[in-house]
Amino acid sequence: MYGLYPDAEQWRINTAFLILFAIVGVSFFVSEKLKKYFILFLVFVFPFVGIKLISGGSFGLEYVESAAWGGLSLTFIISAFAILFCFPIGVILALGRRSSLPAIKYISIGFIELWRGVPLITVLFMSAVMFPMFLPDGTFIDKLIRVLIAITLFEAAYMAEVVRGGLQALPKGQYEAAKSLGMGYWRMNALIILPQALKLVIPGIANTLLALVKDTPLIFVVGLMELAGMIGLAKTNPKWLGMAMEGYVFAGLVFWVICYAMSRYSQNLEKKLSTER
Amino acid sequence: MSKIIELKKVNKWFDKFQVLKDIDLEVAPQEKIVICGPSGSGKSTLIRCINRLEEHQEGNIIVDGTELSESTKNIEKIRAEVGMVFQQFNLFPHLSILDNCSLAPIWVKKLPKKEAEEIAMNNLKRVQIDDQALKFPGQLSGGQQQRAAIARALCMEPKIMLFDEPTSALDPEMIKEVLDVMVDLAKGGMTMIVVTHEMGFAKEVADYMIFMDEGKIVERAKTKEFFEKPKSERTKLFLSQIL
Repeated sequence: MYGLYPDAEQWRINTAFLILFAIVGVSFFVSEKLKKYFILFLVFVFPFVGIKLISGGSFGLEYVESAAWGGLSLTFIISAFAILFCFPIGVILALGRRSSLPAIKYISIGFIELWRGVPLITVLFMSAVMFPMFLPDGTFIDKLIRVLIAITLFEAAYMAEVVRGGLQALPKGQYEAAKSLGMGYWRMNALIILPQALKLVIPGIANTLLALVKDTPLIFVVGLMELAGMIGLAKTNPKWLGMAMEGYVFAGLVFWVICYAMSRYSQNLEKKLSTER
Repeated sequence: MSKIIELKKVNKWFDKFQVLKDIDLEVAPQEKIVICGPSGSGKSTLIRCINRLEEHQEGNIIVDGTELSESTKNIEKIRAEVGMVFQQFNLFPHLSILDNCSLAPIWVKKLPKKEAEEIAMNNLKRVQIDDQALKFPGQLSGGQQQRAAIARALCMEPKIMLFDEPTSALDPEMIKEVLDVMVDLAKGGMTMIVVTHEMGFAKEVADYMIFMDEGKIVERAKTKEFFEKPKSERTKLFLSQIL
């Protein structure tokens, strides 16, 4: 659950996740209007509060370096951050790829094709091993953050192509109607095009995000141990000798529960947003 | 009289194919103009140039004193003043009829939500579908959808309305309800340019008829003259086929 995180400080992870679950839980029972603020808080404030709480280093909290983070909590942290950031980046890339401005268009295409063409393991190795060599001496970016950025950009490229599929499925008339009402590019996309396009590609988005969650074990290659990695470590512990099978079955089960929950959620979302005849 | 729309020597090409050839057109405020002609003659392209859904390559288009050019600001200003109704309705399927109508007033004209919804309800009443306001486009019949689309355009309080074959995608019994709304609108003094094959409607409301063929305006005449003694042979042939 906590990996190598110091035992005495584990309450901090617990608190962070308790706050998270409390907010999500309460938000089911409050009015629509309050819910908006809850969601804004969850997306823009909580991630930073949570990370501060877990990493410490100020407010009298002892600093815990990210190499010591691990286990299921790390699985959640990485998945949540990557999902949170890869989505907007993906949407922007998708719009960029369809832009009529050649510079934006070719930068987007270049970015997408570059990240899509490289295996995730390679990307992770580069982020952990090669990237620091290019930094000037003395600057240091935490390994976890580097890995997070790498995963986020990697998945954003996939997300962009999924979203672009939705954009292309919309009839031209929707663009023309929005324009004929005097809407500019951003309003047209925010109010008319994206709500419809994203709804169309919910299955594709869910697909990408599920793949993302299941890709998190790959971070073991750079020495970060989330759930599956932790079990790999634990089975070498004499106390747990011979329990490898149980461990991996458990890990598989946990991933399945997470992914099935996400999949159900996406199906509900599809039903809720459906305005078809 | 001053002109609200002026087209001077407008030329347009789709790749090498010339769709509009030296189009000159002037429309005075409150005038109603019906454009007819065989398919592929450039009538839709012509009215789509007036709010820049299509770009012209040569000539000038001036709408209400603003020239259509590369300037995004001019284009958006003109589009906010020019309402357009499409053959395929193009309602926004993810929004209720009321939201379809109030969206642009709220976001483009920056009206408060309450005021925008009031305007929307008034216009929906005008086209007699205020009882459908909370339904989604997919739940309405074709005729109702097209009336909602007209209401949506009216909510921006445009000075000019463009209609691009508004009844061509409708079942025969629904055409009348849409035409009734358009006749009502015409009598209210709206400046209208209508591309249609509904000659009954044209005879009732049009001040001028324009006949187009192969990208050119072949004939422009007062409605009565146009139907009773058309000048060009091409117009005569066309009228004999559709009347």
